[in-house]
Amino acid sequence: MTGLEERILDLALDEVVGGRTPPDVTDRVLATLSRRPAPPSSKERWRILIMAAAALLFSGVLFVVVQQEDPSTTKIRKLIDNLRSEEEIDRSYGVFALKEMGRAAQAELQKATLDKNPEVATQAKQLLRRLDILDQLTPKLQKVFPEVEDRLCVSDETWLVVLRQAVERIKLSEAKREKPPLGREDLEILAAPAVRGAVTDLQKQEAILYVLQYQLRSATPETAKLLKDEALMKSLSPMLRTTCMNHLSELWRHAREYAKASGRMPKETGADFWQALVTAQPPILEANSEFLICPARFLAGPQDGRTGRYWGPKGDVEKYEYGDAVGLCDDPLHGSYAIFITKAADIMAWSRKAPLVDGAKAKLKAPGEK
Amino acid sequence: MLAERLTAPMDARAFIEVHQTEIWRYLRYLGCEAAEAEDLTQETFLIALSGAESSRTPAYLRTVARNLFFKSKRHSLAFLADVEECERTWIGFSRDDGGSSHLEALRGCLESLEGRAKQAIQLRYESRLSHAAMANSLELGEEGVKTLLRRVKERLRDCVQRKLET
Repeated sequence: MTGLEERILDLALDEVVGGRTPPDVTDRVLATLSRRPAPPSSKERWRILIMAAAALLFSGVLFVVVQQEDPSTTKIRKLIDNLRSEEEIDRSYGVFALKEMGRAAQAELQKATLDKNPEVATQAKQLLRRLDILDQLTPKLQKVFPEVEDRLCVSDETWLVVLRQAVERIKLSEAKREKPPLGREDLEILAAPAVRGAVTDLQKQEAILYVLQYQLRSATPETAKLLKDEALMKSLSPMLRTTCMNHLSELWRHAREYAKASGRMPKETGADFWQALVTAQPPILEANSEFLICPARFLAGPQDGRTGRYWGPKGDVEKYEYGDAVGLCDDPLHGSYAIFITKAADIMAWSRKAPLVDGAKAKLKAPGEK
Repeated sequence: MLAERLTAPMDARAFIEVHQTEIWRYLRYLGCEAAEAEDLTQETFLIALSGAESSRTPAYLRTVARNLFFKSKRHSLAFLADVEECERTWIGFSRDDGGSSHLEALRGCLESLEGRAKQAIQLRYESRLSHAAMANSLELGEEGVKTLLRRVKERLRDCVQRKLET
């Protein structure tokens, strides 16, 4: 039984056995409502607006009125005043109404961020943040997670939760062989704040995994900052090494597909050997394929001329022996390890100082080397 | 009569009468004490009835109630993070009747309880005894009481599910 199910059963038992039944608040609500001036309905608001516009046009004084204060500004200020009320209901009404106004309330909300009342200032900042978030959200995200902006504007931590839920939706659809309701472009919006909002090491590792898995480039400036944390990097190293080995393995598998399609392996050397899989007609790999770049370098971003591209064969692979190396990753982000793959598809991670690595490098050309 | 009210455009009184039970139960589910749930139910309807008529739906009411609850607590971010799961579980319970069919099924299941199982439920939910006090009455250890309660609850949950499915 899940915690939530148990909570419901407790509630039900409390009501059925304990006799704690729901109250009737009808008369109290109606009595309070009758004492409060009702806000104009949307129809009334429109009627007022149309009549006001007609009157302005008729009198021909529109340009004069423009110089006066917009009546809607007064309304927004009143709504912001609601935020400082001691009555919860007034504050809540203020928040809901300001949300409905959208960007129209922006200027006044910006002023309210400097309000002496910290509650008003905080709420105004949150409402402004919500507006910015709404602008960024894709229509798909808004459709799949209605009112998600309300959750996202609360704290940075909730971005990772939403990113996790988005990934789960995609995986669920894939498992059912249905079209996923969200794509990589939707995850891109969530990725950078999700990485930034990750607090614990586990959260950081989870966010990094999503960035890698879906190649979320928007988040790489944030992941680069995280990778400077030595302790975190140490815990990530085995996973990054394994992923890098998978990349080389996949590249070599695609190279063999290339050979099957065109009768021989690419003639290019060095990193261009792998690039030939992209420029082939039809392409064997997509230009933005994750396999073309070392995962650790993808997360850390280019540095000191290192782009994360893999070493490729120095000569014609067709003439290589099965034990000869055909690809290698020598990025210092893998610590003391160099990772390479042989023509026989054996993949290895060895200490850089090992003679085996020197032997592998002798058959290979580094990216950018002439 | 309830069905007619649910399909016809509602006046404020009918709107409150139809939905107040669900909102009170929902607030209790979120973690409110009974009295607090009553206050927040009242506030929820005041807000909903001050807004546009088109937004008067159970989902909107729950959103208002949830926001009021979070504001009153100001520390429930972890719970907020699981709001979707929380909603899914709630919708499974409330169905279209605010949870009344679930409670009716539970009444039937409680009748089938006997002996210690029945006694444990009565001590816990009717007499509102703590685990320690229950342990004295039932002549069990505290852990034994917890295990007994857990098993009885699992039986009740399965029984309710069977009844609802049929």
